[in-house]
Amino acid sequence: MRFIELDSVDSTNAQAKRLAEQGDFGPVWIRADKQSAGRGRRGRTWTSETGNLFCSGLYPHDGNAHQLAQLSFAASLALADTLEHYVPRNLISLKWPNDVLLARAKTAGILLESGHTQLNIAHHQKWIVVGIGVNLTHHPDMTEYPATHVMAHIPQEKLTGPEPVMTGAQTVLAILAARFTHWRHMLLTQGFAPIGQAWMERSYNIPGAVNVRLPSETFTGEALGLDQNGALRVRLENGTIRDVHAGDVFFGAE
Amino acid sequence: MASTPKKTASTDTKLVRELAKILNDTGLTEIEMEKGSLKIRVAKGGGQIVQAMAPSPAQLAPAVSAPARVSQPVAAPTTKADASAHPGAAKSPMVGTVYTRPSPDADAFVKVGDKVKEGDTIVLIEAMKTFNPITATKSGKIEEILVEDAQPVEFGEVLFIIA
Repeated sequence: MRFIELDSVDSTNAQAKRLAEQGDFGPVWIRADKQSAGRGRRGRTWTSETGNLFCSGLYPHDGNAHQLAQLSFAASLALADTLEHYVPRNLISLKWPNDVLLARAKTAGILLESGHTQLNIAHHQKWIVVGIGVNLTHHPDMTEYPATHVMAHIPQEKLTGPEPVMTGAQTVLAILAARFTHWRHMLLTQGFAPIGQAWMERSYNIPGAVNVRLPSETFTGEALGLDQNGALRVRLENGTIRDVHAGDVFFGAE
Repeated sequence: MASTPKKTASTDTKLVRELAKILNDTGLTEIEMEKGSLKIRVAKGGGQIVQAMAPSPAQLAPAVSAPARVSQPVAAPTTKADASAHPGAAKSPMVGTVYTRPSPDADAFVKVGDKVKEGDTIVLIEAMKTFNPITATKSGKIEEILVEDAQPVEFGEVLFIIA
């Protein structure tokens, strides 16, 4: 696996997209100590304090549009695996579609962007950028959703034993890159079913009450599971089934 | 965090040692790291490499170009029959939420009447926090945009028409 380390960058996703536009389609992971313009979904600012992990994986993509969205789940499983190196497994849960929670608080953000680069008049190469931010040493206060950071949950004996775990952003990224490679490979060779199953095993509050906020409407119901593409299947109070593909979802008593 | 390497010559050795340990811990067979002018490659020793964690790493025929664009799905159902029959109609390759602007307070990518060239981003479609640009498949003029910012779209739904 190839890694590019930067002191600072506007955003690692933007840097990855620039590489792709120059004809480098990865696989490669880019990490920066600082981001001056870290972004979340729809232009939301992602606080980028030094010590935390900001990284983006760039991979060629030859699958279909559905598979692009499904890589979101592969990324969240990869991060959950990574955190298992550090914190007790029972603290980690997944919230649709790709949030990784620690003790039910947000500890990371994952945002994927696809694109393609024209190679010549007849051919273009599709690619995907997987942007991942992980709160390792700090987390922002006053967020809409409760936040935490990884260091706060690492058992003392893991840090002080004869072979303490390496907690630097570089190490965390190496583990993450290996685990993403694993889950991506599974998606490409076996389809979404095993990914969806593994994701459900670690999901938070499914089945359970859910509030869905779309740009145009808000509704509540019971989250039942994932459809074959990864959409969140919700049963409304009147029995209607809705499959949610994008939007903010709030589970249980949040 | 404690193990972040400092940028001195002596800690480069430490970095190599750390990378070697990372190799063992992660199941990666090779790490190639670039940092400014520094380039370090650490690989597991010669001969056959046994993968500890991943059954086999995901190098699936990376560079073969996709032959066709995704925005013209075959036999897609559409409720906008007239628009869908238009030769310049671009249809949604996926179910999701469509955005006509890069972020909520930004200007629209394009408006009706704009000249566009092949490859220009016209709208974005989000599904499961994956953002996918839908680009112009030919150069021309935006004749119609059939979707509103932040509305849900179905597979095969007509998004815009380029004349």
